[in-house]
Order: sequence, then structure tokens, then C-alpha cells
Amino acid sequence: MNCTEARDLLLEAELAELRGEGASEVARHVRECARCRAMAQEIVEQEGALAQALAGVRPRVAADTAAAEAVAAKVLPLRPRWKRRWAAVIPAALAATLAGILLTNNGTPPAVVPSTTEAAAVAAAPVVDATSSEIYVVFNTDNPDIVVVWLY
Amino acid sequence: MSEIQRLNEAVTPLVQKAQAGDQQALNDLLRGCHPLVHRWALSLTADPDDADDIAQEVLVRVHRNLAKYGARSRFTTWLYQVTRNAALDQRRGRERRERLATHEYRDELQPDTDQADRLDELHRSRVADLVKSLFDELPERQREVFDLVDLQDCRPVEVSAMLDMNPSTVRAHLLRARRTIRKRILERHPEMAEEYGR
Repeated sequence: MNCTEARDLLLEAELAELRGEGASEVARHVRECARCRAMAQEIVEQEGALAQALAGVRPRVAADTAAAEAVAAKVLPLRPRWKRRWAAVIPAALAATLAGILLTNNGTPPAVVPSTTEAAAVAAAPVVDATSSEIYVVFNTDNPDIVVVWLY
Repeated sequence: MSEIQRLNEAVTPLVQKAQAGDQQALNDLLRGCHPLVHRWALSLTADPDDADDIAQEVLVRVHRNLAKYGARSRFTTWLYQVTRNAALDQRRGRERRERLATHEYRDELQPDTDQADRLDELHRSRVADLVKSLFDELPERQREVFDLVDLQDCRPVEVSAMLDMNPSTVRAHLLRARRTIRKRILERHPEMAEEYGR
């Protein structure tokens, strides 16, 4: 094997072969040729330096702390989005229902039951107080003792 | 024995205990994984700061998903895949943020550090430069294979499992990566390059 052939093989050789170890042709050439050996050594040294450099970078966070933080993160895992959305919606629905009950029972009951005409007027022109929720709408009527809470 | 094999031997008994609810085993497992996960993340990102974030994220994912690990593969194989996924997610997130931001916030940070921290910072920066200068032109798969086989002494058959890749493909990636990196190393020495050209 001449140097040209050997130097092309150095580019793909195993590290042991670059050190001249083993019985392969390229390893034998490295042992016998000083110039090719110098190139092989340069490759081994540079790759070794790269490996050392990478191994020398330590995490900023100590392993103990990282493990503790990972365990702590597990205590409050992120739930699927649909669960998170319902977690917010359900209390809002309960609050709206409670508010509706409190408002409808506030004060004395109406002495006069609204006439059919009045009820129709309310239905025709409701005042919407809360439109932000996805699950309820509150309608105020002209009669402060009557509030309609629509859950859907 | 490579670092990966050492970790595998060390954590295999811990995995079963941790899956059974042993808190101490879980802590030991996560603590034991952290350095190697960080090392992998560093190679995948070439950025020490990103590697820190990814390593932390991987521990959280291991904790959350440990029950899903079924011992069909080596634990380190599964762990590497979790690390790769976390690195990929981190890159996607960064790309998304960079589309929204006009400048890199991190570059403006000037941490108030003491001398040791500054030296550490310098080392991290140099390593990042070194890794980038040698790795940058390598396709991702070639970089991973080269790092695992030549820099971390992992056996190609293990890498084949870790990357879910045919052994002959691993070999092909490895040889291409070596050729690229070694040419670059020799290019730094004009006298060698000159001789090489003869």
C-alpha cells in the first residue's frame, strides 16, 4: 500500500487502526510510515480533544437539583387541554347557577306574576349582562326580582 | 466499557424499583441519568445552555413516562430517544419563537458571574465553537452516529438500536462523518494537506 492509498483510508479508519493497532493494511502502514503516522496521530488527538471538550461541559444545574425539580414537576403535571378547559368552565357554571339562584330569591317574591304580555316582552328584548362565558347568559328583566339565567 | 453501558448497568435495577413506586430509586435513577443526557443534548444542539434545558426536560419526561417503558429495549436506548425528541421539540419551539422575535434575547444577557463562572462560560463557549466548527456541516444523523460511536465508544450495534437504524446504514453514516470531520482536521495543517495532495 502506498501513502496515497493509505491516507485515503485514514479518513475512514477505526481509531485503533489510526493508532497502528491490529493487522489491517492501513494499521501496518501507519506503523511503518512516519508521515502517515503523524497524520493519523493528528486525527486521533483532535477527535480525542473533541470528546474531552464535550465531556468537560458540566450541566449548570447539579444532578441532585435536576432530579428534585423533575420530581416536583410531576406533582402538578399538565393535563390535556380539554381537561384544563373544563376545569375552568365547571366552577364558572356553578358560580353562575348560584348567582342566578341568589338573584331570583333576592327580596320578597313578586306579588304579581308577570302577565303573558310582559313575559313576551322580556323574551323579545332581553338585556344580556354577561356574554363572556361559554356556558351561560344572564338576562335582566324590567322587574328587578326576575333574572333569567340560561345555562347551555 | 462505554459511559452508556455503565449507565445501563447502573440503572437497570433502579428502573424496576422506580416503576414500582420506590421514590429513592426514582431519585437515584434521575440523578444517574442527568450527566449523560446532558452530554447527548450537548452533541445534539452544540449549545451548552440548550443542553441544560433539554436535560431538565428529559428528566421530567422520564418521570412522567417511566411507566410506559416496557424493557423491550435497553433503558439507555429509550432514554436516548426521549432526549432526541426533547431536542427536536426544543428546536421547533425555538424556530417558532424566532419567527416571532426580531432579535435573540439571550445574546443581550450579561450574567453577573464570578471568575470561576466566567471561566466555565468561556469553556462552554469554546466547546460550542469547536463542536460547531467540526459538526456543523454534518447532517444530523451522521453527527449522532459519529458522536455515539467514535466519541462515546458506543458499539455500532447499540447505536443501531438507539437510532432505530439498520446497522449497515449506521456504518455508512459513520464513514461519511469520519471522512468529513477528518478532512477538516487535516485542513488545519497545510503542511499535511500539501503532502496529502502529492
